[in-house]
Amino acid sequence: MPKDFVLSVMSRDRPGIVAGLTEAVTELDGNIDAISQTVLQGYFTIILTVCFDESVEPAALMAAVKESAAPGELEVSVKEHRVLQPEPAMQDADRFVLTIHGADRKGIIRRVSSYLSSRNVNIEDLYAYVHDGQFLLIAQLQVPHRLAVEHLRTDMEALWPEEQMRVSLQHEDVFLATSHVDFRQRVPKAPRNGRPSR
Amino acid sequence: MVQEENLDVRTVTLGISLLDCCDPDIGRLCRKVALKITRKAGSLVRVCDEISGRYGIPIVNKRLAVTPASGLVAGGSEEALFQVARALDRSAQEVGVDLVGGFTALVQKGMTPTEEALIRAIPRSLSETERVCASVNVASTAAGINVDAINLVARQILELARRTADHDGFGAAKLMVFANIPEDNPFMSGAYLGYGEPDCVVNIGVSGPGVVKRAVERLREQEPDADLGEMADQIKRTSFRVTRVGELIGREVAARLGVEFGIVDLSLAPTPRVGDSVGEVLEAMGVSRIGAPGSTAAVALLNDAVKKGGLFASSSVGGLSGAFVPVSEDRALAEAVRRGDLTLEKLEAITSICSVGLDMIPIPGDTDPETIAALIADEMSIGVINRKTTSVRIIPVPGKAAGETAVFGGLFGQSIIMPVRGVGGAAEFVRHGGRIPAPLQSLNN
Repeated sequence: MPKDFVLSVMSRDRPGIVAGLTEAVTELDGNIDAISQTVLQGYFTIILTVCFDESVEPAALMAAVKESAAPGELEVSVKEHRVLQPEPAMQDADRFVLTIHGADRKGIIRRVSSYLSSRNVNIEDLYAYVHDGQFLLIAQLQVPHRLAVEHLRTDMEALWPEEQMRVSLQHEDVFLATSHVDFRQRVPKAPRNGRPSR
Repeated sequence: MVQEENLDVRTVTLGISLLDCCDPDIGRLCRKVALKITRKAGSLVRVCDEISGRYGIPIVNKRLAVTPASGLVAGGSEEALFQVARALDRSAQEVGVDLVGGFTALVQKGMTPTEEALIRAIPRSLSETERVCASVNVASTAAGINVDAINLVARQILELARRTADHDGFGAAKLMVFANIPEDNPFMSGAYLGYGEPDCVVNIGVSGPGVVKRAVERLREQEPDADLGEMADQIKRTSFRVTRVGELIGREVAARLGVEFGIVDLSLAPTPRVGDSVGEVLEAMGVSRIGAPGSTAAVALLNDAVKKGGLFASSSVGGLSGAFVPVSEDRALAEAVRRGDLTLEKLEAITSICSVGLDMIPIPGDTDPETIAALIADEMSIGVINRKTTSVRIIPVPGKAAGETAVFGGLFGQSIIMPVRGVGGAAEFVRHGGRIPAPLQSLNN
């Protein structure tokens, strides 16, 4: 029987959901390895990986999590977790931060995600909202090294010939260097004449 | 919030010391120069292209800066210096960089015979090569102003312009005359590798003025009540980001080449492209007629804010690090000159609080050498007294008068030829020659 699970939960948001489900996991003697949670337009959603010392019935885990809240409140999914190796293409990739904004209209996310998929670019993180008719998307992408970044950006801008969207694609290091005071670049330093070698 | 700024790196300039190429035989010297440049810079362009592609940040120019040629040649003749210029030109073409700076003499206190030979070799050297840039440091705060050198250089400027008359005197665009020349400036035509620099070093010129212009425009759109302090703050933050990108790319290039990283130069360096103009930044700030009263104050705010942001972003700042106001290379400045709003006198005033100096300014081809010398002497005085770098890059356009157009093309742009007032009015003064003594450095009023 399995010992490692990936668990996802969706429900209307309220205080106490995380406390309840983590208590359920702890009572079964489980340990949470990784967790990501967000609230979107009043809906709570979470994904986490849990490992147990002893095997646990998936049904038992699901029941314990559901019972941590009111009956029928939580939609829960429990799957066995196998540690995944990253896909070969993704190992030779750099992270980029994509932002898209402009007037809201149907199909923005579909068009851009379909394009990215066609270029084998993986979306690791995605956040978008509409405010006052203006759409904003921010995503973290894994871009294979062989792709020309400027072409990606202009291709994406060209996805909306009818009315322009502004697309920005910044390498993660550029994003961090320009927005984080504490950013430190890790590059090897060349030997300097007159400086004792360590 | 990620800003959509189209950031770029203006220039990656590889400084290469040629001191170990010194040789009494000029042929051997030139061969050693070629070998060293190929060895150190052979992969510069390729590495820059790869890093640029990987980060999605364009690197606009790749250049070289070398040890002053006047220091390489023992007891050099004009012919020998010309051979060095040709060797530098060939090497630059071979490694694929667009310009190489370092045909340089440092004569602020006096000159050696070799330095005099270099200065006299400038007209031929710059008119018969493509990519070589020259500079002459004629003044410093510590030494004073060498008016003999200025008088000599003024004549070379005219001769160089005459030799390139079919291109509106363009040869003179490859020569700059300096006070307090920096040793690590990555921009041309003044780039050279100072004697205090390492054997091989990467120096960076950061992104262009368009980024700053858009930041100012954004501020005025989103906060119409913003005052000048808030405008300075916006420019400062933008400069922080721009500098961080420059350093990021620069350090990568240096690491890949296995050489030291030197400095980031914070200068706002325009090109004639629309949107890439320092003048347009001033317009965005609310100076609708560049050259009108208020222009100097606006440049002072801009220049200072750029430096403050850049200095926080990086601890390796150097070069010129001031806003450039090169007339023909800046669309909005050239337009202000055409309209008559921006005069030589106002440009000179602006150089007292920022910038490189009187830069890329076409003047009438029949301007006499004493007037050119006097123009240079004025600009050098500003630099020497104010303990800053100033320089002069003026182009006497053979056969053309004020109001006509000089066309240099490409990144060098074009402009109306500017009138020079009071021609010859200080001829006797400069003809005295000698040295204007070094200034007092206290009692500063």
